[in-house]
Amino acid sequence: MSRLPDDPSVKRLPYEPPTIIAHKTGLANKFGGAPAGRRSLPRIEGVPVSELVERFGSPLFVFSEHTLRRTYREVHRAFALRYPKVQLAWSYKTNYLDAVCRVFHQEGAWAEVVSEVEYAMARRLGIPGSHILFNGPYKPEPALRVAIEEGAHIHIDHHEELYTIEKIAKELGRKVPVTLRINMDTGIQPRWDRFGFNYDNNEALTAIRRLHTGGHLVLEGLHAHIGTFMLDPQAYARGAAKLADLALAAKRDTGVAVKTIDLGGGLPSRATLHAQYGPGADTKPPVDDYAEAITGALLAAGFPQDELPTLLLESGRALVDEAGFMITRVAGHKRLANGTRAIIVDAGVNVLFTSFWYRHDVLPAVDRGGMLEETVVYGPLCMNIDVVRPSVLLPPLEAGDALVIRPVGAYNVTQAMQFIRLRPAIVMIGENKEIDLIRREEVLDDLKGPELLPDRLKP
Amino acid sequence: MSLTIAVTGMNATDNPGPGVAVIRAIRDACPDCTIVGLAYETLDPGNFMPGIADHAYLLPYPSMGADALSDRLLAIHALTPIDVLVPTLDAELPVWVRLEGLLAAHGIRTFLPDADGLALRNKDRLHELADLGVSVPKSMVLTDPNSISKVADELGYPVVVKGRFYDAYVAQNAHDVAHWFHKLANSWGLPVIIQKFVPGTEFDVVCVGDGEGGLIGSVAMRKMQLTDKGKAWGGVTVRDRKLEAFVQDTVRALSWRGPCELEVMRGDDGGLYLIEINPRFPAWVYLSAGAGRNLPWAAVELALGREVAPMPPAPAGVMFLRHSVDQILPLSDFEALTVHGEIHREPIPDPEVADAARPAAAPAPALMAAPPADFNALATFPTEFPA
Amino acid sequence: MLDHLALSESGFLFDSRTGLTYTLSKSGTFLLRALIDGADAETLPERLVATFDVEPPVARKDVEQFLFRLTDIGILGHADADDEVAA
Ligand SMILES: Cc1ncc(COP(=O)(O)O)c(C=O)c1O
Repeated sequence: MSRLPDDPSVKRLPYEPPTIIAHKTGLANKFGGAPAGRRSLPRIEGVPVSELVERFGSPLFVFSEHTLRRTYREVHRAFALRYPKVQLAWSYKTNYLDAVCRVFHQEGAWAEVVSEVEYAMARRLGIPGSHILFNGPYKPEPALRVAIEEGAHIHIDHHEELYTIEKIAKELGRKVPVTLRINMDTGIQPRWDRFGFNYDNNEALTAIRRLHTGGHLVLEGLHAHIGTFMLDPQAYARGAAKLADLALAAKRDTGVAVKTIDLGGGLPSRATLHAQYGPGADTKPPVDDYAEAITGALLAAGFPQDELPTLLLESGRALVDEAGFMITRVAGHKRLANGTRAIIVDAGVNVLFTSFWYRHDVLPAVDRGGMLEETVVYGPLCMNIDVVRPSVLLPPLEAGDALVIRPVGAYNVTQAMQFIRLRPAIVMIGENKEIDLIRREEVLDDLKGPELLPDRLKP
Repeated sequence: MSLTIAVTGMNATDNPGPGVAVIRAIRDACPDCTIVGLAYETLDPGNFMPGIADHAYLLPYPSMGADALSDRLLAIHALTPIDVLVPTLDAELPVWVRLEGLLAAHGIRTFLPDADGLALRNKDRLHELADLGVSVPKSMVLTDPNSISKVADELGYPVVVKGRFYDAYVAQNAHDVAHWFHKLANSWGLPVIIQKFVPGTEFDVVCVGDGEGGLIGSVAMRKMQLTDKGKAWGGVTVRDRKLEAFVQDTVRALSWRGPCELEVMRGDDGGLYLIEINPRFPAWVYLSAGAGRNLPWAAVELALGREVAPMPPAPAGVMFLRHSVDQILPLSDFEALTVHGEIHREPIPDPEVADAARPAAAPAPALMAAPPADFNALATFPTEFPA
Repeated sequence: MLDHLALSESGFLFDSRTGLTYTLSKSGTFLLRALIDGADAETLPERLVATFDVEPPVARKDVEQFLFRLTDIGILGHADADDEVAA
């Protein structure tokens, strides 16, 4: 070899690592160099991923304020176009970062909470009780008292709760408006019949009569949340028709017109379930189909014009999922014993809980070319279950390269755990591309602070 | 100017896709058409069969999504401009239907059912056809094993228990139904469909509908020879007035657009029942050309917007018998498809000419315009495999 | 020694002993071609650096892993590999 490697007169070829792939049928990478199917995501909302990593480290959750607002407006508009009285309530458990909640509240959303903790979060953000829907199968009595005093909308899940609220109403000496959670067969599985009162066997109407004759409660609304990631708009049409039917039956029996009908959440995002064949974004029905199904059923139900109930919606996932990204970096790679390529990244199921259900998109921030290869993406935990993607086509990557995982805005932040690792920083990219840290990276004290070590065990 | 027709489903295996049969029928009607074979697997035999595809290309799996598929097709279109696309596989149809507008904008014509038509032939919605006046066996859709007890009253035994996507088993009693219910729910998810068992004879009918209720043509076949998967390996055309009327009524009720295969039972009670609709040509569709009713070509003409007169009923007694052949192929063909995703047996059209003929054609991306394979480099290849 | 390997410039490899086929990346094709042509494995990192835009330490590490993989999947016989991996 006579040429020196750094001889400037020699133009060297662009490099990609030497790799060899055995041909077998069913290989997704069927034509190595072809452009179709090669994807990367160098920027999020126009901000270079490299800049985000440099400033805030990795892993890093990134939220797009623009997408939050745009998605909210899309959903709201789809319903408001078709129905005169629509109110969205932000489902806190989907993502209760203050910054995310505030964006939705600025857009006009109420709060939907399922514990006294979430209730306090909403109050802390300035939401009055009258704009809070209080759901859930367990609401401790003191929490109910606060909520009733502050005029929150309480959605009763079971008989014991109904009695407790009656007792409080009696003590306060005033009638308390309440909403009943209803479950029913909408033709889909699993049926969420563990929540609320059943429509199909008349349990619900019986409870309404019972509530009315008790004299302390007034039926204000009916609520159903039929499931999550519901891909069939017709299930909502059936649900809405049943709620409307129940509302009209209640009016007939008690003379009281129901003021609100709440169809819960459950609209799908563009995520892809593991069991889905193609990308979820391809098959997800548009939100207009859901709006049409729900409002169509309500408008056809036969409510007198002046008693048309307000339509409440508690959409969570559909509003926030696509606004959330996870930036992660490659820590290393390996060949598994069977020859499969694998990479280890610094964000795993500890912070991407939804990887268990969804085939998240995993995109390199930079694609330097080279052969795409089926790759397992492992998280950083010393646990066999820590798999972000069992198989995804990726170009050659080096340690330190950034990947973007999406959509991860729903349920990941709220379910992220301090298991083995602390939780990462979270930033929000604003409408004007300003980048704000909205939750700092955790430190050991965030985890150990609440612990008390008995003197006799101290080191 | 001669036409270029692209056809998918080159998997002429022991459970064949319809592509090769469709191409043979088109070749019969149009000997100077250029045929682009589109395959999802390198080893689909249709890619390598002499006289089938002039250009063979690999496509990304439909599971990679509409964008990947349309990007790839448009890149192929830039190289070998396509006039008509005839998709033939169940799994890809929803994606092509979604892409219909985009393809049309690029000058690629199709003649497919619409999304609603496709949805209606889902197994769990077949009973809705009854509302449209189509005779289907009475059925129930079960989402919950607790309702199995209702089967006896609503349908009566025996019944066929069907999975959401695939598989069907005959059940004689509630115990059987429960057994298959759990098995099918585990494999394919819910719901499970319970259909009244219709004892009788099955006929398969390939049809093309004009989308406005009219039937362009149909050929009915009775299977004579089955594979172990129950697919036709041989069959014979049949003629039956009642069946013809049934097919006509069904296509009218659905306003079916494009090709389809109807699976029809003639019950021992004399009634006809629609068991299933496949929204594409069947693998045995070459029989239609053999019987003088070239339905693949009719579909191409309809895609081109040409007037196609309804065809008279096909004669009975035309037989087909499938066979298998061991094809010898140069390793270089396999290499070309593996490495570049394409094989060219005819010259690639001159882009100048192609552009002038089709202003809407997408510009060829640089990468795709590269020569398909370095055939010189292959000269060193062994042409005979070592013993 | 490696005359059972038919490697084309496109990166398509046919192993006539096993009947298996493979695709290699550009640099992989370059390295295997060198081996087939009789190059000493120890010179591979140097050759890689001379032809591709890569730093010597990366080249050494990549060549080592590549040779390991070729051996692992049976492209290179184990006897051959002993000297070659010693690079
Ligand atoms: C009562 C209620 N409302 C709303 C939601 C939000 O659901 P999704 O994120 O599916 O829209 C949930 C989630 O489980 C819920 O339980």
